[in-house]
Amino acid sequence: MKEFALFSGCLIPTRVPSYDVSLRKTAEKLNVHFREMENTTCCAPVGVLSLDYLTSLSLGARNLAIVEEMGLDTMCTPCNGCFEGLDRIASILSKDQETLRQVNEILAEVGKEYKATVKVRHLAEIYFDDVGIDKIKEMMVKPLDLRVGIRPGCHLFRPIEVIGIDYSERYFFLDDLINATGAESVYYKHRLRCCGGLLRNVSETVTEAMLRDRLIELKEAEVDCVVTVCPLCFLQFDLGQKLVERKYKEQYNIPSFTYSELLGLGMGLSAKELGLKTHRIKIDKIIEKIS
Amino acid sequence: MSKDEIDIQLKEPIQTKDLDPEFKYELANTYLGKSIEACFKCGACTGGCPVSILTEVYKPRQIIGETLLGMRKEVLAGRMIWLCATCYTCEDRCPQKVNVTDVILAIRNIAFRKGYASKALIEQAKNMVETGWIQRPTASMNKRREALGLSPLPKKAVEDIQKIIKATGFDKLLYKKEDEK
Amino acid sequence: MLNEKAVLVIGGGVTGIQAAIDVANQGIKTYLVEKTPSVGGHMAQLDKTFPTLDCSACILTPKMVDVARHPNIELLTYSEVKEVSGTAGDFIIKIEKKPRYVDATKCTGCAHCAIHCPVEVLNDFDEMIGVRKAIYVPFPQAVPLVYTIDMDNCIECELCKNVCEAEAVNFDQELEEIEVNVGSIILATGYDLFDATKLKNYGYGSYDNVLSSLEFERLLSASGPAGGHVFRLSDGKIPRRIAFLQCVGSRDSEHGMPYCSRVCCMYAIKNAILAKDHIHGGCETTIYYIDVRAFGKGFEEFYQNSQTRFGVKFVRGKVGEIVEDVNTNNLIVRVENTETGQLFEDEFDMVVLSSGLVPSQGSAEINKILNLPIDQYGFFEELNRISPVDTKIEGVYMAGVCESVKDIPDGVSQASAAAMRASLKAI
Repeated sequence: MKEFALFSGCLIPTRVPSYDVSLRKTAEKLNVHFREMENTTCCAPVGVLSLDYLTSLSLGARNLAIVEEMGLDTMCTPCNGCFEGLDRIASILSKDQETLRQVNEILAEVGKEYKATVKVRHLAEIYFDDVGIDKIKEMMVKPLDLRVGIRPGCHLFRPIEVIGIDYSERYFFLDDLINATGAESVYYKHRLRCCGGLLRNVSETVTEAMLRDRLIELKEAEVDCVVTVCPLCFLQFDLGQKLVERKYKEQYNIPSFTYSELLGLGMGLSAKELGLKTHRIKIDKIIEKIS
Repeated sequence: MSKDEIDIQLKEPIQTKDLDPEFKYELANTYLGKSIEACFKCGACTGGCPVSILTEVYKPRQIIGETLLGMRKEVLAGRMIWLCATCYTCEDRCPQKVNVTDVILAIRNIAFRKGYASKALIEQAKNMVETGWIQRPTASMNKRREALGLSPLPKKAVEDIQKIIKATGFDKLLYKKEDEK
Repeated sequence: MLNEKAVLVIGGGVTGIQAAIDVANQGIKTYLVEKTPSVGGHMAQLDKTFPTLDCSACILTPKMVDVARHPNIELLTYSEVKEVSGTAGDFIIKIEKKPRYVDATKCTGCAHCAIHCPVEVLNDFDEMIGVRKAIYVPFPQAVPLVYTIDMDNCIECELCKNVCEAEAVNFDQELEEIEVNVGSIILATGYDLFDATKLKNYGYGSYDNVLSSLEFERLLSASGPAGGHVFRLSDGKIPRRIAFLQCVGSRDSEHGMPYCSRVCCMYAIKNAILAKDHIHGGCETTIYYIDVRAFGKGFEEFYQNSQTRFGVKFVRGKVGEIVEDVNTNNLIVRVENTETGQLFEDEFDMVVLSSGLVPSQGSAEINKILNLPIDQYGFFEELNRISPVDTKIEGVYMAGVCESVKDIPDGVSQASAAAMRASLKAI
């Protein structure tokens, strides 16, 4: 398998270290080769794009240029925000010569140049396309007997014009990834709908109301846990769940995992090794269920 | 949420002398906002918007409609444009290929230059240009990483960020803001 | 008395039928080629037509019978044009007559064979929501009323052969190729409905109670799988609240065709009225639209009447998404009423998508042989704007939706126009 430049983004190293640990440990076992990127910056996602388009474009392009400097052509990121943002920037710059020229003028100030050769892929895509369902099934020490509600997040599939992965309400490739671990990917209402993550701090009321609706839908579907492929989605359903419980005085008891963590558990790694103690919602009943 | 009796609230009439027909062209000339003129206000965007369903205060169709009408002040100074969760559902649904979310981001860019921006996003941007991380790293974060066997938080290229924002002019915009919303 | 040169009409829907009759009435020999076992086309699938609410079969079947019995028309159903050569005034056409395995000269249409046939398959004419046997006629008023064996599904048990008193079943029948010489050709290859599975947010194809407009027509039709009663495909219950969604695949540059399909507003109004008429005990109907296009003769009155007399509700707002309640199979429609600015999550028992019209598969197939210039959507290009029934090949004319989207009266008018143009080359 080829080597990928690993772009972890900001949230994973600072706030979801269990995702950081899990993706590295599972990558080792699955023979996926990541090379650390150095001297990166925040991918400058939607927040910065809201304020200045050119700045967001330039900062993103700088990170892509680093991949080129490493002699690699594919960037792998485990975060939806970084994925959509950088995929879009790579797409714009590969098609629009004038914008590429404009951005390179800015990058010249820091001694860099982006040649528009990088492809951006999400970690989940790597699991599905490069590792493959069969390999994942093989690596399961014992199948996980869980009902899982998978949340793809907003930026794994949308906007479809930029990202181009086919999906529908009833089925998308993450279902297969979940099923490969032995767990059951439960179809539930509105699983493609936004949970309001990016509105946190902008409007707590709206974020929490949206998140609460998503939690109610998960509860109605009677899932054991919710699984995400993005640190922001994870934080919403982990820390965010606690905040919603407090505000609305309701209990959900739905532990939250990232897919890499679930994969790690299936491969026989312990909760301790995967750093799962850092989760806010207690995962004990899940660990019990699968042992 | 379905209502049988529609309670229509009469608003103050809009004065056409207060409308600015050039406003939409300002957006049509930006990269993110260039598809705005194709909108024929069918409402497919709002019909699928997860924020709209919770608060009727927010409607993507209203933002685009008001912009096309030329209600410059209301749109730029208003709270509505900052309530978009950028989930891109509207963009995927629009039959006229209007990049609804991107248009809203373009409007935000203009609003920011006029002195209107969400405090939270300004804070986030400042964190980013000052530390290279979207949230300021703390000692406890590093301690936690150590306990899990991870390396400490890598250094981000803050110097390069400073140079870039100087070249794009973002630094001046970010640090001169007094009138924030 | 017959002229030497003949005219070929390709496509046996109402447009093709009208063109054939008009040519034949001038004493010119006409060949009418239709690839399905019966003429009639989509109009035969409808219950009633707008805006007059005429019974579709009642106004169509006399013309269908005309075409079958006309001394100057040679009706070639279950046949396809395979080759066209020559020029205007002198075309050589090779036509392939597919074997029905039933002798058309002997079959009386008594249906004994179908009653005994053990194989049941989904019926294309019923838009795959009704069934037929492996030996079948597509609908009871089929013309010609000759049974056909669908060899893909036939298990060759020969029960049909045993019970046929007319001894019409013949498994040894073979493909027949004939060659005819004609002076001109009229294309009337019609339309297909836009495939709404492309619109993932509407759930067509996944949700049982989301139907296309033609599927709904078949439910409404007395010859359809429900005998004219409307019931839900998920559980057979009677729907009391039906939503009609407009501009599905039309006026949609992103997921479908950018053009307006012209007939959907009117047929949705008609279907809403018929739903109320056919469902005893009442039914609420709501039409979700961007604009209501009611431009033709009697159209605006029809639209107004549907509200005042029948109580059809109209909401201006393109539906954002449809979500299925997995317990009840009911559908929740999320839409913004753009006139009041209010958002609704309305629950319905059934949703009908007013899908747009696109050029048919048949048009594409015949064009592999003819190589006519087509526009970016697949409609045949007219010679110029003031010769709208002439194609760019001399001697080849067109009528109906294969030229551009239109309703039945316009299609029939165009058919007569094409018939006249074609006759000039045949005299």
